[in-house]
Amino acid sequence: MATIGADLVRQMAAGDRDAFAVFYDHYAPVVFPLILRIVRERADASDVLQEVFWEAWRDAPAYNSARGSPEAWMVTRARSRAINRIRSTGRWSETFVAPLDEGIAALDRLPEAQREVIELAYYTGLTQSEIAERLKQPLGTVKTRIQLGLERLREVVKTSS
Amino acid sequence: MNHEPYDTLAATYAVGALDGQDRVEFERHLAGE
Repeated sequence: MATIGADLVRQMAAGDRDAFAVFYDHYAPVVFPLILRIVRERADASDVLQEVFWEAWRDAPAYNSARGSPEAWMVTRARSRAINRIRSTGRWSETFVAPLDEGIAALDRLPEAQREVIELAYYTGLTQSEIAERLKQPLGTVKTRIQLGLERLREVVKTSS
Repeated sequence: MNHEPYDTLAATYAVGALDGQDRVEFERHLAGE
């Protein structure tokens, strides 16, 4: 999948609109659920999706496969644009953490306190300081929970793969 | 040089949660300084 995706991006960089159509069909189902999970409003999610793919088309010539797969390229971009959207629409403070999908179900196996901080970081884009403020916990506690949670997550994923 | 602290920070950086001095130091590390 990564090779196909990289080939498509190269074709897009050369102006191949057919390749872009295939790329869209391939990656939209991957990134749309992530965007929707963050922005919550379907209309906003559709707008962000279009923005993300327009940028992918525009930035295809700059894509460097050595720096990450097309999947990572798109997911990172989608997450960033979705977070920008909820910040710009003033719904930032209303964000909540949606249930996890199967892809990262391993998070369910973390202690609640660790899972909470990682979800806040990943899904709402909060930094460790912002998480500490929101949860009214010392920064050191939040840092420790994030680190322990990520370590455990790594172990869980490793043992299940 | 022991990079273990940076390994720890890397995971937090990857989920976008690193900020403040931790982020400054980690990005300095990434830049090879």
